[in-house]
Amino acid sequence: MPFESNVFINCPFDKFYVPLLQPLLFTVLYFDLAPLIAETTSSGQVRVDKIKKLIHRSKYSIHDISRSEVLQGKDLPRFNMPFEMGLDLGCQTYGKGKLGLKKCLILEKTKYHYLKVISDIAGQDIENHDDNPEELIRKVRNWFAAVLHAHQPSPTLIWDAYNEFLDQTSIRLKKEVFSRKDIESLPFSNFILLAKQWIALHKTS
Amino acid sequence: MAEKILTKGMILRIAESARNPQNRLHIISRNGKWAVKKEGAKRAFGIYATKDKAIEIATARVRAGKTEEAVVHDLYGHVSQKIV
Repeated sequence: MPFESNVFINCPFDKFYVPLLQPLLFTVLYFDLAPLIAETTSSGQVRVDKIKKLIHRSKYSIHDISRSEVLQGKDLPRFNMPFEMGLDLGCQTYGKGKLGLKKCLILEKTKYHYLKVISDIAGQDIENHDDNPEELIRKVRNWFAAVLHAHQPSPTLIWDAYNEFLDQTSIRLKKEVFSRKDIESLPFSNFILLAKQWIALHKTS
Repeated sequence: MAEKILTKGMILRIAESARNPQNRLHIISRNGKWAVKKEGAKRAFGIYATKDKAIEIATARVRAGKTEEAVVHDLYGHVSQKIV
């Protein structure tokens, strides 16, 4: 996909974040854009090199830094997301030509939490989702509507479509002898293809 | 355990078979309230303060034979219950 259609997604890929990652991917696809995530590219590369390539290929980026904190007692905070966000902001600032056109949305869980942990990002587009997928879809949709300057489907329409997509797809997957566990652990590349096909057949604006 | 992979052909078949909306209702979270919406429709036909009330309305329509099935979604969009 061309630079103008690519969206670099910087977020965790663990099972705890999947309930937010799937609606995020669905929303990006609903805008006919292409989500790029490190998990779907070939594994024969050094991870940071892979990420730098994805950043370089994407006009848009979404960074979710909500997991850059201790979730439970003995856990450690995770710094991959802020690190990759820094690479992206650096690319936008120091890159030449079209790289100067890059735009990014930063997501956090609680409003203004970033001021306590990474206040240097003040002035960027920062939104909170409260760990709620409906809210995440609204914030991502509103941001795309602003940066793409075009008529866009409402957040409610996308959220409803996402709900119906999950139901219809799981019915069909069960007919293909996919267990609930199989469905829950579906590779992201499969989820993206399924959502893209479903949206192509069902999208209303 | 290895992930089960879908082939491109399977994905196309799955998406294609989901093309036509069915005579079903969906109960979906809506900004702290609950919407009852016909599958494939653009707008909900009712918004209710509680999930229980939305389920009650949808169940009545299923019992009256006006719809085949009501699908109850959780706050994450996944199906938590089906009323037939």
